Order: sequence, then C-alpha cells, then structure tokens
Amino acid sequence: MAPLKHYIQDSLLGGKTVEDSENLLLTGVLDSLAVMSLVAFIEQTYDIAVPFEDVIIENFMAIDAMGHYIRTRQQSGG
Amino acid sequence: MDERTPNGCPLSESQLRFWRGHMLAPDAPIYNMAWRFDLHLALEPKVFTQALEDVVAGSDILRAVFRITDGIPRQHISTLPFQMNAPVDLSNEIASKDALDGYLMGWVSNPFDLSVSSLRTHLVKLSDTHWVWVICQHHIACDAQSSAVLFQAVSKRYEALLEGASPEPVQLAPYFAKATEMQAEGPVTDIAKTRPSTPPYGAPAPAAPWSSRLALPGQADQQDAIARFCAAPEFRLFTPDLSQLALFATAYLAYLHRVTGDERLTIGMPSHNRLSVQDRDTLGLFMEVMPLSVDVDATDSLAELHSKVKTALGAFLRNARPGAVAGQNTGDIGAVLNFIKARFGPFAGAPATVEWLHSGAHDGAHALRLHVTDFDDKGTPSLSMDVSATVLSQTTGHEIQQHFDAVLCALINDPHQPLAAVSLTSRVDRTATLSGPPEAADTTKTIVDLIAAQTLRTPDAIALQEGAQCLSYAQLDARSDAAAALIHSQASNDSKVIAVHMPRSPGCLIAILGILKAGCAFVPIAANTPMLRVQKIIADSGAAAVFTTQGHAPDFGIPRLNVPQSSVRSGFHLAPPQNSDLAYILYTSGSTGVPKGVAVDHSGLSRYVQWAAGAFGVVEKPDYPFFSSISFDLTLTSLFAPLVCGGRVVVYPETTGPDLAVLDVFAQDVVDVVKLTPSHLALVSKSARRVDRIKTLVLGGENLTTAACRNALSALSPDLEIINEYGPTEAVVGCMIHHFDQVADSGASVPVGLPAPGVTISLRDGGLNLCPAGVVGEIVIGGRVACGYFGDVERTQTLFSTDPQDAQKRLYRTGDLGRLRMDGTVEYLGRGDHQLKVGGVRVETADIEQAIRTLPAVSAVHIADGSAPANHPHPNQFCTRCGLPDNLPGATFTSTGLCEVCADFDTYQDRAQAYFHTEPELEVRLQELAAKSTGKYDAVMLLSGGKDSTYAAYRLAALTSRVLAVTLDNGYISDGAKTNIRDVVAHLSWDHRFLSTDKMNEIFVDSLNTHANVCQGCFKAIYTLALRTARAEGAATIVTGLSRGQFFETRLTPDLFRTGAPNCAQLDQMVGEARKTYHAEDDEIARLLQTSDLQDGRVLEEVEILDIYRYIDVPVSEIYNFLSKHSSWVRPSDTGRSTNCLINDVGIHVHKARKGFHNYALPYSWDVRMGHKTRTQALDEIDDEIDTNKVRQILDEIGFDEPITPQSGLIAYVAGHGLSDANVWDALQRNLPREMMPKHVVLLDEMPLTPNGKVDTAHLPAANTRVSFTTEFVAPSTEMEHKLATIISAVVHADRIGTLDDFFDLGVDSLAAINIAISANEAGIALPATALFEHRSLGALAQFAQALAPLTEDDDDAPLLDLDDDDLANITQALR
Repeated sequence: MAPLKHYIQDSLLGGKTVEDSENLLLTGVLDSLAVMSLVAFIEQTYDIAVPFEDVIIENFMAIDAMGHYIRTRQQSGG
Repeated sequence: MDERTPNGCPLSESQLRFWRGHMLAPDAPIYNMAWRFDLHLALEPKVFTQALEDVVAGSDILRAVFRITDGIPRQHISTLPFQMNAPVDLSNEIASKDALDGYLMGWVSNPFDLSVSSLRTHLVKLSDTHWVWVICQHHIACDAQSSAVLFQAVSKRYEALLEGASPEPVQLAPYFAKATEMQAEGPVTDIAKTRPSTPPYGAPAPAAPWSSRLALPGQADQQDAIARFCAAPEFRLFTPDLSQLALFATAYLAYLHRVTGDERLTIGMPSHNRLSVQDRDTLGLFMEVMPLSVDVDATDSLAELHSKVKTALGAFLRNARPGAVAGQNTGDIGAVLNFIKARFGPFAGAPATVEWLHSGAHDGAHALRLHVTDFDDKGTPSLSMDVSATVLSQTTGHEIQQHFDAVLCALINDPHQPLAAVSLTSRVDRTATLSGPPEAADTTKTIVDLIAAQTLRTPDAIALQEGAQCLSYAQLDARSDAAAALIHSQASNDSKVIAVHMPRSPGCLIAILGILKAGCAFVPIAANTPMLRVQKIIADSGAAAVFTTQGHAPDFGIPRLNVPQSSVRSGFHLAPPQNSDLAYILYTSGSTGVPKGVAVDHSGLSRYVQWAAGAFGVVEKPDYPFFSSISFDLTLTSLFAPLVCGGRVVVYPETTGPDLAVLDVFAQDVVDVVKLTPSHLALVSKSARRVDRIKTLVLGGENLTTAACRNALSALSPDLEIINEYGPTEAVVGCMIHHFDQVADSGASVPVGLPAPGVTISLRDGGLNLCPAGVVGEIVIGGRVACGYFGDVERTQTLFSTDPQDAQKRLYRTGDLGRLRMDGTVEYLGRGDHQLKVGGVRVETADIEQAIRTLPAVSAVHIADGSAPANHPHPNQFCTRCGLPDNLPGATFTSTGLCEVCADFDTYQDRAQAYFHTEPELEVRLQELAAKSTGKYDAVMLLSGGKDSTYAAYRLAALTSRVLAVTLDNGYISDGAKTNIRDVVAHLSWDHRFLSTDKMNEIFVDSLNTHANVCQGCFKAIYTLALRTARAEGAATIVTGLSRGQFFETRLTPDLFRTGAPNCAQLDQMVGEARKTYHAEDDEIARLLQTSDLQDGRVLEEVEILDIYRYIDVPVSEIYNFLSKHSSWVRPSDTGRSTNCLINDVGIHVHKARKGFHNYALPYSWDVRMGHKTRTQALDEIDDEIDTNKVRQILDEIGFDEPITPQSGLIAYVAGHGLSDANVWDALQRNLPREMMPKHVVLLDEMPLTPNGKVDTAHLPAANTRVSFTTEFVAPSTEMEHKLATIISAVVHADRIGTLDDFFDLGVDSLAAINIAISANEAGIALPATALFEHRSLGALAQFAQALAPLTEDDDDAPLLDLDDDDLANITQALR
C-alpha cells in the first residue's frame, strides 16, 4: 500500500509522516474532503469502485484499515 | 506594483459567482465578511500597523480590485498604496461600547466598490490591554480560513517585529495563479432558478437583502446529547465533523420543511476546497457553495430524513472539488448552511476572542442562513441564523429560535418520531387558537322557533315567492303544518329522517319546513341526482319517506309524499324539535365518490342561521334567491336566513341543460344578498350587467381570488360588499368570514379571515400539535361542528375528536391547509390531498390566476395538474349485465354488481321509446323529404362499410333509388371495407363518392390531443363534408346507419328524462339544439375545414339528418342473416374488431395511456344493452392486444410527434372570448417568475361547472401541448426597443431579438444581464441588471425602461469610488 501512504503523507499532509495504525479520522488529521479525495485516489490507483456506503470509520480510520478494505474489494472483484 | 498583473487575472468560478451577485446588488453589503478580534494584551499600535502593512504587501489578494475588461471581470492588484488608518482611541470615552458600535456599523455595513478596494481594516483602543482589531473584506477575496490565515500571519509578523530583527519581506502564497487553476473545467451551468421555492412563514419573496443575525443558544446545554448522537452507529459518519454536519443539516432541513411546507428542499453548503497543507495556508477565496437537495416526505421520521441527508452528503462530497460549482445549478438554493471551522488561536501569545460580525444584509435569494461556527477548535460549535427582514415581518426572532430549537432537540433526543409531529411551540400557545366573537345567538331557540316568532311578528309579509306567486309567512306556516301532518300519518318506520327529492320550487321549501316541524331531519337530494346515488342516500339515511313531485319518480321502497296543496288545519299538534335533535343530513361526495352524510343538529343549524342573518347584508329584512342545488349546504343559508328576519326567499327554478339559474338572479336583480360559488360569480361577471339592488355577495365552496373580486366589482357594481365565507359542511355551512377589502387584500387569494361567533380555529401539524403563526398546518375547527357522519361511527371518530392539546374541546379536522398570519387572520392554502406542486413545492394557483386575469377578456381560470389521471389501468369489476368495467371515471355499481348506466337505463327505457318511430312512418317521411329535394338525389347516405350502415343501405334502397352514397376516406379505411362498399353500391346501383379532405391528418392529431381518440375528429369531419355535399346536390336528407346504442350513448342521455316524460317533438327539439351547437362550435376542426358556411345552423333546416334505426328495429341476428343471404358483405378481417378502420387502434392506445380506460368500453356496453352484442363478446373485444409498433408508425404518418403519455406540469384552463394563446403566454411571462409558469394553456369558451356551481374538473378537455413559450417573431418597433435590442444582441450574440422572446431562451444569464445593464447605463438608460429578470421580454423591458428617469449629466459625475473619510485622508496623505 505504498502509493496510498505516499499520497496521504505527501499530497494531503504536506510531508508529515504517519503510522500505519494511527487513527487519522477521529483526531481530525484527515477531514471529510481529504477522505473523499483519498477515495478517488484509491479508485483510480487500485482499480476498484468504492461506494459511499463503504466510506465508514471502520474502513478508513487508519492506513492499515484502508489497506485491508482495498484488498477485500480487489478479491471480490470490486 | 501592477506590473505583476498588467492585464489582471481571471477569476475563479467561485469568485465569479460572488462578483455577479455583487453586481446585481452593488449598494448592499451582502458579501461583507467582517471580523472583530478582541486582543487582550498591551499592544504596540505602530508595530501592529507595520505588521499588517507588511503582510498586505506580501499578498496579492489582500489588495485585489476588480475591473471589467472586454465584458469579463478580472482581478488586479490595486495601484493605491495600502496604509493602515490611525487607531481610534476610545480609552477615555465613557460610553466607549456605544461609540465602538457606531464605528463598527459604518465599517462593516458600507458596501464595497470593488473597482477601488475589497478590504478595510481598523484598530480601536478600548484600554491599554484591550484592543479591538476589525477586518472587513469582500467575500470575493476571502473565506473564513483565509481570515484565520491572515490573523495568524499578522500575529506572527507582529511577534517577529517585536523581537527587533529586520525580517525578510513577508512572502505569502499567491492567490491569483491559484484562482486560475480553480476555473471551471467542464460546462458551466447558469444559476437559473428552475423550481419555485416557498419563503418561510408565508413571507413574501424578499425584495431587499436586509437581514438580522439571531443567536440560537438552545443547543448550548445539549453538548453531551449531541456528542452521543454523533457517536451512535446509526447516525455516525466517517469523521466527527461530518457527523456533526449531518446532524445540523438534518435539523435544518426538517425545520425548513415545517416552516415552508416544501417537500423538495435545496440548501447551499460550502465546500472548503483546501486539500493540501499549502492550500490551507493560502489567503483568498477557496470555498464554493454547492447545492444539497433532499426530498422530504410528509411522513418521514427525523431518523429517515437523517438517512437521506447521509446519502445526499455522499454525492455532495464526491462532487466537491475546486471549480465544481460551475457545473451545479445553484439557482434553486433557498437557504444556506454554513458549517465553518477555522482556528484563529492567540494573538502574539495573548488570548484573543473572535467574533464574526453581520453586515446587516445577505444575498436576497436566500431567506435564511444557518451558521454552525467553531473558531476555537474545541469541538463545540455555536449556532446563529441570518434572517431576512421580510421573514421577520411574518414572525419574530424569538419564534424562530423556539421553532428551530424544538426541531433540533427532537432530532437529538427522539429521532424516530415523525417530523410532521414535532411540536414547534413548547407549550400550548394560546395565540395559536383563534376564537370568534361572543355569540349573540339565542341558543335556546331552534330554527322552527325562530321562524314561528317571525311569523307572529309579520304574518302577512311575503316569505316565499316564485314569479308572480307569493306565499305570506302565515300561509307558509299553514302549508308547512300540513306537510308535517302528512309526514306523521305516512311515514313507515320509526326513523325520524325524511328525504326531499324535488326540483327547486316553493314546495321544496314547504317540505323542508314541514319535516323540521314534524320533529324529523330532512335529507335534501337535488332533482338531477343520478338515480343510483338517490337510492344510496335513501338507504344510507334510513329515510322513512321521500317528498317528490308528481310523475315518474322510481320506487325507492318508501312512501312517496307530495307537498299538500292546501293548508288544512288538522288541529294536530306536533312536539317541537329539541336542540339536540337532528335537523338535517347532507350528503357530500368527497373525493372517493362514496356519499357520506353529515348530520347536523338543531343547535348547530340555529346558531349558524342566526349568525348568517346578522352578518350578511345591510338591509334589515333581506331577500335571498333560491337558485342553487339543494344538495349543497350553501343553499341552506338562502333558505333560512331571510325567514328568521322577515325577508323573503325568491325561487328560481332549474334551467334546462346546465343549471344556470344564477344568471337569472343577476339579470332580474330583485334580491339583496346572493350566496354563490366563485365559479358562478365568474360566470355572472362575464355578462357585465350592472346590478342595483343586489348589494351583498357571499362566496363559498371554492377558493376566492382577489382578481375575481375586482372583476366583479367593475362588472356588476362598485358598491358591492363581497364576503368570503369559509367552512366545510362538517362545520355547519360556514364558520369563518372575511370582508373583501380592495386596498388591504393585496395577495392573490382573499383570506378566509376570522372565526364566526362561537367558533374556534387552529392550525395543527401531523401530530395535532398547534402550529405557530406562519407555519402551514391543517385547519381544525371547534365550537360549532356537526354531530358526525350519519351511521358511520368509524369515520366520525377519525375526523371528529377531542382535542389532545385541550385547546378546542371537540374538533373537526378539515383536511384543508392554512396558515395563521401575523394579523391574526387565516390564509387558506388548498386541500391537503389535492395540492398542486411543481418540483415538490406547493404552487399558489391564485398567483397564476391573477397573472392571467390581467387580460380583461378572461372570465374564468382554473389551474390543474396535468399528470395522468389516478385510474387503475386494469379494471377489477365488470357490470353483471353489460360488462362495463369499473375503471371508467365515475363508474359506480349497485350492490348486485349492476353498473349505474344499466340501472339508470332501466328507469327511463320506457320513456325513451317516444323517440322511436315505425317503419311505415319511415316511408312517409322519405316521401316528404323527397318532395323537398331539388337535385338528382333525394338522399345522401353515410355508408361506412360496417354491418349497420350496409343493412341500412339495403333497407333504404327498397324505398328509393335516388341516393348518393358517401364514405369518408380518412386514409385508413381497410381494403375489406372498401370491397364491401364497392360491392354494395354496385348491387344497389347507387352512385357513390369517397369524400376526403387534405386536412385529415391534422384532424386526427387534434382529435387525439383534445379527446384522446380518433373517432371524434373523424365523426365531425364526415358530418361536415356530408352536409356540404347534401346542400350542393340539393338533397333534403342525410341518412345514417347510426345504431340505437349510439343514440343512447350520445343523445338520449338520462338527464333528458329526469324531470318527466318528454314527447317525441320535445326530444327532437333537444337533440336538434345539441346538433346545432355541435356544428357551430369554434374548434380546431371548424378552423381546418373552414365551417363558416355551417355555423349559423341553417343547413340543418335545409337538410334533415335521418337516422334509419329510429324507424327500424331489428335484432343483430336478422342483420347478419340478411347480409349473408342477400349481399356479398363480409366482415373485414384486417381490422381486428367490429370496425372498418385501421387507425382505430391508435385511438384506443392513446386513450388508454392518457385517460386510463378503454374508449370503446361505453359504446360496447350499449351494444350489449341493445342486444347487438353479448356481454362475453364485449368483454372479449375490450381485452385487446394493440400492436404498438404499428401505432407508432401511424402516429408518425399523421404527424403526431408528442409522447403518448400525458406530460406532467400545470395546465391553465382559461375561459373567455377573443383570447389567443399568445395573449395568455404574454400575460404569464410578464407577471410570473419563469419557474412558476404552467406547462400548458387551454382556451375555452366556457368553464364547465358541476350542478353545485364548482368547476367540473372531470369535464375539462385534454390539453393541447405547447412546445415552447415563444410564439411569433415580432420585430422591435419603438425607439427604446431598438436601442435595447442592439445592446442585448451584442451581448448574447443573437441575430435578431423579437419583442415577445423570453430572455432565458435567448441565453441571457446573470452575467449577460450585468453586461447588458452596464452597456445600457453607458447609453444613458438607468437600467438595473435585475430588471432583466423581472421583465423578461424585450417588449416588457422596453416598457419598463421607458418609464425610468434617464441618466443625466449629473449622474455621470456620480462618484465611482466609495470613499469614506479615512480613505480620503489616506489618499491625500499619499499624494503629498
């Protein structure tokens, strides 16, 4: 999930580093617009569709959660 | 300074939107973003000033000015140097706070001239350690985050300067280049309003942008509950901020729904668009306001609404990116939700407070703006709301706070409740219930007592009159006593209900009074009521007897009584009725067609009549006309009111055809007060005959428009008192009253006013909570209501109940919508179940009517919804005798499954035989007619090729050979039929002609549009052409093979037989009249075939139409038998049913789609009744399969290019003479906003009315679709029109502009409007850009511009610069 991490750190956070398990949503590191831009990035980069119902805390709260979600979608042919 | 941007830079899309809004209202501070920072430190003003100036110098946007080049606005860096004003020292002022407020007012609310500056800033000293820093910047150059960045930049620079070093110049991220990036990528949608929206609290649309900011403190102590809500899995979104946003957006939308009544709500929300860290630190406008639309169902719970909001937010976020606003239509936004988080922090390490100031105005297109702001990042937002001044004229700030808090609390604490039932007022607000004045009525007396008392006072005065016949009070008393005695002796059961089923006559009133005196309740049933319905009412009411007139009243199973002619004093005294006894049961049809009987007791009736007698009319003893249907409780006023005060009832019998006795009332003008419906008033106003004696009109039954009142005053008499009386039958005739005031009643509808004495009124929401003023609710009546629905306990309990709020005791829910106004009167807003909506917004049809009535030739207007009728496409029940399906409009069935048509037919079938003759009479008649013929033929015969006309031909041929047979070749006659025709005429040695017209296809198209079939057009065409042929050939008759079934379907209708047994001559006359009218109609066929030669009806005297089956009656078996034996006639196989025509399926298909039922259902049912078809055959033929491809093909051939299913949208039915489509569209365009225009206009000669005098919606014709608003091109003619046309065409690049063309169709959007206004101003015309939205055609605009004072030389010198004293001081200083 390197491209994902780079996008978050470089494009969205201006170079700041974050841990894979760090909670990015509850702490306000990523706001809703940032998450949606992330969703668009994920759809393009990993070639999956992300319906809005899937944009929930559980799937996006940290980098490893996102990775898990992406892998699941890829496996189910999403 | 300007060399960086010599030609300026383009604006971002968001900036463009603000620029346009500014240019449309340049004199109001609608986009001033103002901040007040209270800095608590020992500030050094010079250092502060330097810091600020350094920061400004390091940014392009802080010194941006905006100018138009080549019609496009661009941003430049101002060439004027920026210098901070000297600080204002108020530290020695006693009233420093007031002084500061004074300064703030000016700084914050002065509008900007964007060509000069977009930022002003001031510093005020309140004490050594308390400084106030004010920034006011135009929104085109900033947003909240930008202001926070500015604050922090100045703070940082101030600290740096304090440290003493000489720091580098401030370098802030430039904005102009960023703005270029944020331009629109894809197509730009204009900010056009495409749907109407309702302003809150019934406020008028805002005219000026002034507004006030209200704090909404209610949720401050709800922070824990809010946090719990936002964390709950059901309501949680993926970030805490978003969860909060969803909560507040849901509360806001629910609140907006409650105070506007709209079901489609669009609010504007900002998207901050700062994705990167650099973006977040860049000054300037990044934010874009984008629409969020949600459909609110009246039955939604708050939680369900929240779920919809979640989905809408998903779409919103997906769309949100810089420049995205360009592709969004933001014109429909009616309210804004600002969710603003921006962190300001301390100033130079010292505590600072942030206050966002309101400039006193906001964008006039938004009635409300809710702000959820958090400037200290603690996670606990503050709420406030900007409310436009027009809304505050309808309600108070306190009310708004209360209502919003109520919704928000309901959502947080009990979200699963329906949002329609959230009580907006936290306690029972006594002002939300209206009470009538104290009752003066003597409630101990029944109507019988009152009339008796009056009789004692004036026994010889005339009480009842018809023509020259009069009855005095004493005589009426005696006659009604006799009637009462008759009842007593004849009534069959113990039921104390007696029906009256009589035409209007003195006897009718005598019967009613007799019934009351006998201690019974009367059930009035108008004479022209369909028989089945009469039966139902009698059965339902359990009537013991029925008063009828002599003649052919059917047997209802109860004694029939006739009003005794003489007044026999029997000496028999009856016990008078008590107040609690029932006085009458009146059956209304409601919306389902099942009659329900409203039962009213003597108390209710007496109180009503006493009030009405006093409230209506200025004459002491008013005379009233008895001219309306007795089934309608509106009539009861006219029967009883005069009799309790010595006036008289003047009887006007029913007129033949539609009952228009109201016209006689006004023509004769011998009464004082007339109670009537608005539709009847429109009819009477059309006659424009002045009245002298009639002084008071009481209107009821339909919504009353101010336009109709004004029309009446000018047509009938300017001295008329017009009273609007509102009330359902369930509230005893009428219960609210308003006297029309020409000056004060400025809206389109006349208010329904105030309650009558003893009546209470309130507005209730879905949970029967009281609605506060301004909020739409259901009108609920208490104080004087009916007993209930006779014999229907369930329905009675549903609509009549005890008040759960305990404000009105026993109440009746009317199902009408209304709104309580600030002046304490009630506005009526229509039926709850029949609202007309465009885009989920209730349309005020009275506004549309008002626009159309600006045309003097208009006599009546009705607005309807054009969508498909609510018929089930598949029938569930078929008549047991004839097979008629139940999906025909108005179809009812007896309990044994017999349809109403069959049941009715049984009652008049015998009497209808008078219409038919014998075969010997046929021969005689033909000879008589032959003698009149002048040419080669004695008769023209319509030969369609079907079995009926073919058999008829053979029978005719046996009597005469001088016949010209004609067939209409409509282009779709089957080959089989043509073969039959050829063979028949050859066999009979008759001459034959195919008649045709090149207008046939247009006739088909018109018939499909008007009647949703092809037959009607064809029918009229053949009669027209045949009449001309007969006339030209000198033939004295046209012989038709029209079947008996067709006679009964179209001519011998039940109403001809209701009141008696007409003889043949009378029937002939009635049929003849109808024929004349038919051929004289000024319809599309008349235009296409140019029937001026037939309009005077004389041709019908020269040529008699002889229907052979009037003389011949043979069973169908005989017809088939004969044809097979004596002719080569073969049933055509290529048409699929018993017709000869290939285009028939087209008519059937379109009819089913547009009207919801099969158009052959009724004709076939008559075939069955006549024995020409079996029920099975009829059912079989109706259940057909249509080849829709073939249908589409034929539709293309004839040039019918619309969609088959009816289009939605409002239809305006306009009655009047000498009107054209263009007139009406022009009137609409000039007076209505574009999104409120109806889709279709239908012109009528007369508005069809029901027997009760209301618009007969079932008989309104189908609409002729208008494709576009523009009609013809009318070239500009006046000097002003030419001037403006030149300017406009230059801006929109149009070749030519007609005076009737709508600007929207020409592409005049807000940008173009601004440019047009600027060019016009340069040409000396003082046109504001907004004028192009109010006067939307060149003609209207030129008219408006002509009336403006021209821009003079002085105006040219008006300052272009908005400089206050400080600015002047700066400039002066700079120039030294």
